[in-house]
Amino acid sequence: MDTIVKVENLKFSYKDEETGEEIPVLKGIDFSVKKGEFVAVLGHNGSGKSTLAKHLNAINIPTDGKVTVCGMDTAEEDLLYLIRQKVGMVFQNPDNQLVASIVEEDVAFAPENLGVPREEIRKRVDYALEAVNMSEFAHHAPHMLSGGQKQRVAIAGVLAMKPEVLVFDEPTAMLDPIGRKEILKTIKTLNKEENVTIVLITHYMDEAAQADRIVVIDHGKIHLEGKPKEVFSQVKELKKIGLDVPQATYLAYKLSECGFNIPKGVLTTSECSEEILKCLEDE
Amino acid sequence: MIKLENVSYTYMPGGPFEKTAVHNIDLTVPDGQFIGLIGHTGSGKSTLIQLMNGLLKPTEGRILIDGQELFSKDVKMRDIRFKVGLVMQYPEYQLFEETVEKEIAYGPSNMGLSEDEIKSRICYAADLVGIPDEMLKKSPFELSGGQKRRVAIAGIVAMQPTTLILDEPTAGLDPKGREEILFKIKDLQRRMNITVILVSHSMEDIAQMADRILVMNKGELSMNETPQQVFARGDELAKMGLDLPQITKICNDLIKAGYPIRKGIYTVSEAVEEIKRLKFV
Repeated sequence: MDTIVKVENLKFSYKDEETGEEIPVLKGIDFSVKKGEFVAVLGHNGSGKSTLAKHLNAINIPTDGKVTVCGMDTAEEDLLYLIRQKVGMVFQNPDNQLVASIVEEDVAFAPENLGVPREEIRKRVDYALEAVNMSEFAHHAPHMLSGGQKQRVAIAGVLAMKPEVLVFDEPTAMLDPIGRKEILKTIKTLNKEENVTIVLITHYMDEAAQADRIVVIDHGKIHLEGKPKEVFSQVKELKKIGLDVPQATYLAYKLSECGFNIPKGVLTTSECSEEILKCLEDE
Repeated sequence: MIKLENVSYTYMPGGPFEKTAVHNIDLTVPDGQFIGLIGHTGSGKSTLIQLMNGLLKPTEGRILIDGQELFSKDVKMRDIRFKVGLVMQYPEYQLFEETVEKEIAYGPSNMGLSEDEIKSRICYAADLVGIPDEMLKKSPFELSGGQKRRVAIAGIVAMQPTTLILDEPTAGLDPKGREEILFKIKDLQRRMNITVILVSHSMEDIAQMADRILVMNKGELSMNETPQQVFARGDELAKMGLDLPQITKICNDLIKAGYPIRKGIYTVSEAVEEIKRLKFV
């Protein structure tokens, strides 16, 4: 697979307005995302994960180091529009991301601004609403929709630019459990069926568990990296930096400490149940 | 004590968008309990808590706070609001003062307390929610999301309400931030012996904290029981679109496979004990 996002020795700091002091947020990050991959980024509040995300489509420009997307350096101002078309972002609050009073007009906003021809806009809007399973709401008013539905419209708005990469910054934080499930399902469909590369920033461990790879950020550096199974087998390490593991993972971990023969890094409840049943049947 | 007698509330009665959000609620919340309130979006949770501190007036029925009836002529709404503190969703968006200290002082100042008393209330509230002294002089807008949330909670706590209602106080926080806020609230409830009503979508949080759980479904109060009793009714919860805690799901799988496990288990430590018992009998 080709590398689509490449982050090399990325450092970023901002100036404290009162003291004039340089405050480092990212302290040398190396990481890359392959085309078609689904990567989750974990880290506690203030760890620098959102700052990292904002580097992926040139909202932030590195203080030092280099970020390239589809071969384009994000520090090149001339490439800004191209970069933002390749890498779309979806934020936490759906209400802040919708601009029009009709769903399909909202989705058309970006391509209209890019000067896409009319027929092509129509095609893209239909495609984007179809991809997030919101076609039947095309003529509805966004403010009458549920949180999960609004967030899906926001995703469609980004999809209409036909991006290669979608970066989600805690897209489910403000949603209820049903809304969360809708969004996760949408993300996975986009990844598997539309071959969109996904970077998902989240606090929810069960969401991260569904990614191909997890990157854990702590104090502006990459602390752990690997497949969900590998990362979640490091229960103590994650707890130490203020993160959690899914309850099923924790139960499996606790049982293995008590002498049960359960492999590390169990991720789901059904997996956990199966492993426990295996142990009990062996007796 | 909060008492609801046959309470219903209808939004926009008579209009085209008329909607009965809560229906025939009979409920007594005794003092000093930690109550978890759960329910699907649109089940009437938020309406219910807004009724409890008089932000909404029941369309039918009546609500009594320590024997005083809300909206009766001789009861002052101000006094009720000081007694029943409501922390809304994303309360950090409601901050407005120049400093954290002034922000926390806003409620107590409106209660007509003396300067000295207000100062001691600020210290008290800041200590309870875990705001360090050096933060008091800062602008609330310089703080992180989790810190802002605590300032907002402190502003309510400083009024020393006898009932504290919190609508999703951990939404959007990281796991450590979630745990810290929840334990501060639990600690406050125990130390001051106040009633806490916690609205949450997180079954794990509710399971960990609550003495009693209220389940709202389609505007009706469908369960009012201990966590163990509630989580033993998994099939009914699933029908209401609610999830079980992961631990309860795993134990249910074991029960289905024919192992004798107690129903309604919801903590990791309980589950470990039960499963150990199965293996080493």
